[in-house]
Amino acid sequence: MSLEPLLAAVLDVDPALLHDGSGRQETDAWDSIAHLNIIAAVEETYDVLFSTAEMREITTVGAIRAFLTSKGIDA
Amino acid sequence: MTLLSRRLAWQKRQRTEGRSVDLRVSVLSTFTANPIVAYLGSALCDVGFEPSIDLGPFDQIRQQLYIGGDVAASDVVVVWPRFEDLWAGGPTPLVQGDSAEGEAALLALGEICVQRATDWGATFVVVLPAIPHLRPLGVGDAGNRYGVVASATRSREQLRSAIGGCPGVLLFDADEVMNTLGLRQAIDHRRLAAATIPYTEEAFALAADRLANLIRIERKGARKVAVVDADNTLWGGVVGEEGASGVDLSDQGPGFSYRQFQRYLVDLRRSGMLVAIASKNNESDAFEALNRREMVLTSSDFAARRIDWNPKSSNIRDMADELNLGESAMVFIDDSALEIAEVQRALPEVATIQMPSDPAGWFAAIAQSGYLDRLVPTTSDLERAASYSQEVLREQAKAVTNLDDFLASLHLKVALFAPQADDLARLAQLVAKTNQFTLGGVRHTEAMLARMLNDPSVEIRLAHVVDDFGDYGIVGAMILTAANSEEPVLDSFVLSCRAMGRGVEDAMLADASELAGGRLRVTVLDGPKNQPLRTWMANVGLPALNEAQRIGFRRWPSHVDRATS
Repeated sequence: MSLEPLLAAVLDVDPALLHDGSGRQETDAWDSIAHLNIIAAVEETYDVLFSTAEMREITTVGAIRAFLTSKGIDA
Repeated sequence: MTLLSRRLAWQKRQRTEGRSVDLRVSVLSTFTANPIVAYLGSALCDVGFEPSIDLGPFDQIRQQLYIGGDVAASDVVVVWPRFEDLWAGGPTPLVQGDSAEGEAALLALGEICVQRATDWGATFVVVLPAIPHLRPLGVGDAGNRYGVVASATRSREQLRSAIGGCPGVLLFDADEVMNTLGLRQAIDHRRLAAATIPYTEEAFALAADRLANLIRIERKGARKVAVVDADNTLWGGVVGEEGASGVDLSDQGPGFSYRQFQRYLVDLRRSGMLVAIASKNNESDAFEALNRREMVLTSSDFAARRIDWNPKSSNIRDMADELNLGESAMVFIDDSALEIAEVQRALPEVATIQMPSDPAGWFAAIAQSGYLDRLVPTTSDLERAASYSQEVLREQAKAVTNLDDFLASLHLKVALFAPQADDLARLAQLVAKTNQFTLGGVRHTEAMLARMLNDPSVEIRLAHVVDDFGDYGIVGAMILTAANSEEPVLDSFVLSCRAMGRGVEDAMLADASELAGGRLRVTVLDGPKNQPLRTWMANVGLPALNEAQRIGFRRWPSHVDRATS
């Protein structure tokens, strides 16, 4: 599953609304609980683990993609 | 189904228009429990509910229980504290007195749950908190009488003794989840640090499955019969091929596991579950194996037997009829995927467990299914297994005589008495679990019944039945509301199927009509399973359905003795 559809499903929003800049700041549905749902969904889907600091700092679609790329995952 | 797909499925289900919620659940915890919502929702759907799940505000259990508000309208309230949170204000237990405050807090929490279960008529599921794994002494904690494990264990046991068995209160053990998954898979320190979520998704999912099973058992009753296959389920090998002396019942290797499984069935039987056998074999071959001295189960342990070449589904249906039980009361255990599939297709309500090809895995298969789980047995449960073997003798007596002579020969004695607090659990069980002989109206929960017990406008009677063949136990219950008014209402009228058709119901109705001064009103609903009651009602001149009808004085049946309990 590519990243946007996954996040859109978790956030329950239209995938077309998501772009690299979407995140905690600008997407209403992306609140603190949704953020943890996103972390869990990404961890389970791509078999990766966020550190405690990364959980707090990685808060946009683009940052998640960069995180995955750094683990050698093309999402 | 992956955890993610379970979460997304619940999200979607919640949006379904026209969803009519039949179980309102609230979860109150000392930590952030949001992840449990989706799993508990989907697990409750899987066991036949259409639930709503609400989360209380973070770490405000006692405030919520004092204030009430929306929580008070819940059908089920799950209360989940953690020792780490209860102990947060003081030192981690090390020396005497360290844990006193935490112990008192947990006990107080339990007590308010008991109170609210009655006040709100809700079922409270109180979670026995997991024993903390952070222990300053490490390996030395084991030897410390005032350490982490000792203090937590003491506190859990205080809570269990204070509230276990109280009306409307169920206990769930969080350590079950920790022990099943192991700490590494159950605890997530990152999420605890980031959002006060102490557990992993796996842990919340497993807890939700177990909680849903507990709630299902409380609301719908535990399953009552384990129907087991014989070849490669009770013993290793096929008796028709290897002969009775060739099947594996040895005390080492696979035979050990088969015998261990048999011992488990004997324990189940002791707790009130019935065990039946469905085997495709020549009867004589199977009996020869069943009579081997290494067998733990003996042929008299089976409440029903079908050893022939008929499809197992029709044999299971037959045995359900013979035992006066519905298909949903049956659990079928067989090693053959083909037999399992045949039963699932023909009898979708029967729960099935496939015995693994390596029998050493039997316990994991059973534990994971949860199908044989049950609540603490009542005295009646303990007597039931014995009662079904009495039933075999009664049936034999019936075969040689006509019905009236048979009924007279039983020398039935029926005692109708007002329940005391001790009888509440049995009353609640009868009301919750009787499907066939019931008016078909609202089923009162144990907490509601507790209130009715103290309500002077309500008359409740339990029926204790004995005959020459044995003690049936407390098998009937009836509730009259508006009992002091001009038109008392027969609100509930239930009789266990194993006592049906013998005159106990006529005795109960005679007593009800007398209590009501001949002015009783009753509404019989056309329910999905209460045909036996409707048929009897029609036979005694009360054929109307879904509308109120009057019952005048009724005569106590002449072949039944009135006893005092």
